[in-house]
Amino acid sequence: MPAQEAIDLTNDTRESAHGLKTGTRTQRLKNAYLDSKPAICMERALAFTRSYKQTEGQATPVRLAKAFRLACETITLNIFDDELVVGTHGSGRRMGALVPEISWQWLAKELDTIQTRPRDPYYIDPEQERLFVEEIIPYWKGKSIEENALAQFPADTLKIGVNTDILDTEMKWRSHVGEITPDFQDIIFPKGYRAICDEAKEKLKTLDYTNVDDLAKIDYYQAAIEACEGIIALGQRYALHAEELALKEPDPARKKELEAIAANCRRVPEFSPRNFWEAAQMLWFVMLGCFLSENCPAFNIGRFDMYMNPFYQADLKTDTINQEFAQEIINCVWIKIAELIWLLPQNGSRYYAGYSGFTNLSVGGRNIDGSDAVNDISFMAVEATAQVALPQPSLSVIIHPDTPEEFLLACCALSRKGIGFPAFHNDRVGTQMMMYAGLRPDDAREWTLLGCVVPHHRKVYEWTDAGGYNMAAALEWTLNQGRSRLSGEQMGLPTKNPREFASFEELKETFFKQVDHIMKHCAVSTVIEHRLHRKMVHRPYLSLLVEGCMESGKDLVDGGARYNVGPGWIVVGAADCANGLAAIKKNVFEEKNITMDQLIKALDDDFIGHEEIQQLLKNSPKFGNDDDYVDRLQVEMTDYNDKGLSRYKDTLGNPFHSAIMGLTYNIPTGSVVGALPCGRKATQPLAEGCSPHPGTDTSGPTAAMRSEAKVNHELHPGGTLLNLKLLPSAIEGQRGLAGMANLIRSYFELGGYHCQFNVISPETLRDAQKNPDNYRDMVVRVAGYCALFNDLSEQVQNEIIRRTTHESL
Amino acid sequence: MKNIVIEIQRWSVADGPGTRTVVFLKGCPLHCPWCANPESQDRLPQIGIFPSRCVACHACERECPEEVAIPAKDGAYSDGICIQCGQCIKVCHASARDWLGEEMSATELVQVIKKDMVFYRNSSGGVTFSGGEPLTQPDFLKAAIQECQKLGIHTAIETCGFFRWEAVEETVRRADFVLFDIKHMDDETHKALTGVGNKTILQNARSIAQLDIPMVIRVPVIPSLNDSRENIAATAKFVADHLPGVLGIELLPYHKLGLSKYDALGLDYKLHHINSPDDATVGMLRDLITAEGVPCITADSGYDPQPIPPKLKVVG
Repeated sequence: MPAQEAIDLTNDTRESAHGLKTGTRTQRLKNAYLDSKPAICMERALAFTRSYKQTEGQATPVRLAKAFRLACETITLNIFDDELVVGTHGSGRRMGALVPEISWQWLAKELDTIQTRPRDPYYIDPEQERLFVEEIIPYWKGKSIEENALAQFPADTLKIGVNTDILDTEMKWRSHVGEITPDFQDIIFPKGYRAICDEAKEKLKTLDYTNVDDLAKIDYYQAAIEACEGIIALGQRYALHAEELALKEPDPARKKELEAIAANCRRVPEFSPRNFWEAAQMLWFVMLGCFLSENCPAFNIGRFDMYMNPFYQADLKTDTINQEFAQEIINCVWIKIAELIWLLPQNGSRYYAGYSGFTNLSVGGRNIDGSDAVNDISFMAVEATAQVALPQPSLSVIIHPDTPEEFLLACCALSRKGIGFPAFHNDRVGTQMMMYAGLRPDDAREWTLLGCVVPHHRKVYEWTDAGGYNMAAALEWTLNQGRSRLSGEQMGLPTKNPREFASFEELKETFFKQVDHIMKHCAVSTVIEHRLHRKMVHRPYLSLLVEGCMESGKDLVDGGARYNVGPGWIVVGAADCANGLAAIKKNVFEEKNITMDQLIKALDDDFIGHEEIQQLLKNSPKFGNDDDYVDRLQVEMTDYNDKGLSRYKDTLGNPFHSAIMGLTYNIPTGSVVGALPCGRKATQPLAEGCSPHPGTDTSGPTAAMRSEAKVNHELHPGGTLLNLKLLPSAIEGQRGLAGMANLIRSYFELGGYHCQFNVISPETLRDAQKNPDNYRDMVVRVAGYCALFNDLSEQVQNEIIRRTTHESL
Repeated sequence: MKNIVIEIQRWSVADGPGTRTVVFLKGCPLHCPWCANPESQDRLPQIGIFPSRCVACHACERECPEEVAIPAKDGAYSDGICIQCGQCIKVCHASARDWLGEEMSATELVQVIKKDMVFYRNSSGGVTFSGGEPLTQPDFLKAAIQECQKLGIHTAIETCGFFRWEAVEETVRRADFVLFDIKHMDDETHKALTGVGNKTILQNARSIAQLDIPMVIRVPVIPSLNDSRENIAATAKFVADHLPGVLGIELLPYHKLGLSKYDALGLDYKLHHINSPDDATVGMLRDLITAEGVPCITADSGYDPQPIPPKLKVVG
């Protein structure tokens, strides 16, 4: 029965009517990917606009679902050569979708520069541009989340929180939320959308318009039905398209593949997948639905090995698949994931370089019963990343004490190739973070990664990244009576003249007051956005994918999920504050090497003419060298991010929480901060995430890890990250591999949460800057996620090169 | 009891089994021109000069009691004699002048070593005492080894082999692992290269091989100086014939990474003309070694703790 039966599973260098094909299927698909240029697609925006015009006056969730359905029914269909898993969410390969219900103004302003901007430029077709200007803009004026949020923010929040690089509030008014993990295990695979749709219809029958409590539920279920019909239609359209292509296909081998693809799309996503290939195609349709719903940084694949392995084992038993073909299918899924694009305005692209969002995919870890979860697919996922070697998916592995050594070594071998993956995560700490977020211990065990390093679970609704804030600004304000050192503008609290601080303790208390001031505006902006999302952008399709919504008749935004977790805010520059405070404590208050006045003058002058003082500060203790003098301050900084934020609650009553990841946040945030008492000059990047400041962890990886493990990671359910750079020479041979594995196991034993290795020589990176064509496929780490090196701006490239190189000779 | 420690390098996977901390102690009886740690040769702390760190603040110049110090960028010293008082180091915030070598007691040293305990435990690693020649201070080394072993830390000694056996025997017996250098098999050449002959060294290797301590022979591969086929084969043959139980030979290809240290000390580097051997040459030399029935220790083999079974040796 399964369609792949008839296909020659091993022949991947077929000759077709189009000419001789060279290389493996994976290589050919990858080359096609690399040849494609990112572009903006308006098809989804047009569908939403046209549908919205038809549904004026109807309930918002229903309108959103009908718009989604129209997008599914009208979006261009693409089946590219060699593909085994098909479907795109735009009119071409790497297409970012404009989402006018969230934000469109930025594109209206940036239309002239979007194709030429220095970071992440996009092509836009002239016809698409015309439709945007003539049809989309006129309809959406005043109707976007962006316009509403900016209109509702109080003046002081606007001043500190919009385009300042002190508070990045735009994450949830410029992008959708995303940030869910479709529940393949318990909902999607066992049911299929037809059954889900029927379930909604059954629920609807029990409700009554005369019952006030039922009204919102009626909206919810009606929207659910529309959303199901939409995604089912998309599958059926692809089936038809594949059948048509198969009829025309002259190459008999490809013809058979197309027929199989057509059969797959007839089956899924409407019904449950029956074999591995169908499951892979189903997974892809589910993700397409996510990206047709929302333009956002992070949708999550979840525990891929856990839910795909049963299909694989069953197919092996019936001899309907072999390992090679299954690997090809996985590779095809990987390339599809790499195609996904998160469309960002100029400002956002400064924070998140590299086009891709963060489509995380986790393998390893434990099962819900506590047993080890590594299986054949875990290894094949690692192999897929090795073979495909593109910036997405973000491959995460979850390691626990009983993780098989051969799996850990396979992961280390992949990491050593220098593509930055996988991200290694500590099962124990991830589980603790989830329990702190409110999960039952058994559910917590089945956690997965989301975004770059966020612990998550498929039964959870949260805003993992409500925004990021610049902690170094608080230190600057403490030493400058609340004024920016660069602009002179009063941004923080007008605290006392720093020359009058009687003690280090008094200075530190003042610093935390400045942090509180920032946190308050974090909370204000998020609560306003939270309320707007509940009013304007329900999530009918995504609510189908998370347990609890169908049962309760409540959308995700209204707390329908089984677990609701408060919003996470990312702190940036914690290590710069710890280092700066340590330098002040040592040199001003304890050893009295310099006076506060001398320090302030040196900072005002950006150390020009004060080189001695700068050196004194630079050579003061730095976080990342296993020195308690400064490491304890880093713990204080990070603990405070939990303590300060958790005082606030979102509109569902859930406390805010702390995240200490980084992305490329550290570059723009650094650009607005003057010289700092750690010896860093004005406008230079800050420390990323929870990591030491670049170049200051000079005592080797064990010292950096011991420092990092002092942080109380379980207090930060938004994730923490440690990036370490290793030169290949340090980890040669089997003993080098074992050395890496030991670093990971030991770091996790000490209580660390995440680590990732950048195993590339600085020379290679410099050469790549000079000869980008030779490095088209080089993937490098940018703070917790990966991007094509060539996609990054020169500044980000230089940042990568500058990070500490742990060289062991 | 104190000794001069140059550096404590945490996280090495290439200086003995597992993950190790390498302690570089000061003082060496040999003077090899390829030495990558020239600061390790002298027994006493020295002032190192690092021009690239210098910000030309002239603090050293102002504070020098002998009026000889000038900024490292400008050459570090004017005419006159430095009495190594270290005043300039105290005032140099940029660390452009810094002590090479710090006096530490065995207890202080072990406080640092034990920090990476969890990394040793998870990798069957430990500490390697290197240098310089760690056995120039056998009593200090013995004390340090004993303190480590009390905590369950595996200890290794890396030695050039030039010492009076009676003076060090008790210390060596305590060690868990030995990395023993043999630079050349010809006595005269050895003397010309390192300043001392090899008779004592080879005899000491025999003495250690009598003990029940895993030992690896390390041979630096210095093109044109000791990399001839004859010398490598002779080394392997010596190991095969006279050092029963040795785990194998580890070739250490020459590199110039110590060059900046020569600059820091104001020393001349004599091997500018020599380049690192290529992989093919090193591979060929390894083949000569295995042809003698002696295993090669490589990045892939690791420090396999299994002794070589005599029956596996190829005769002839």
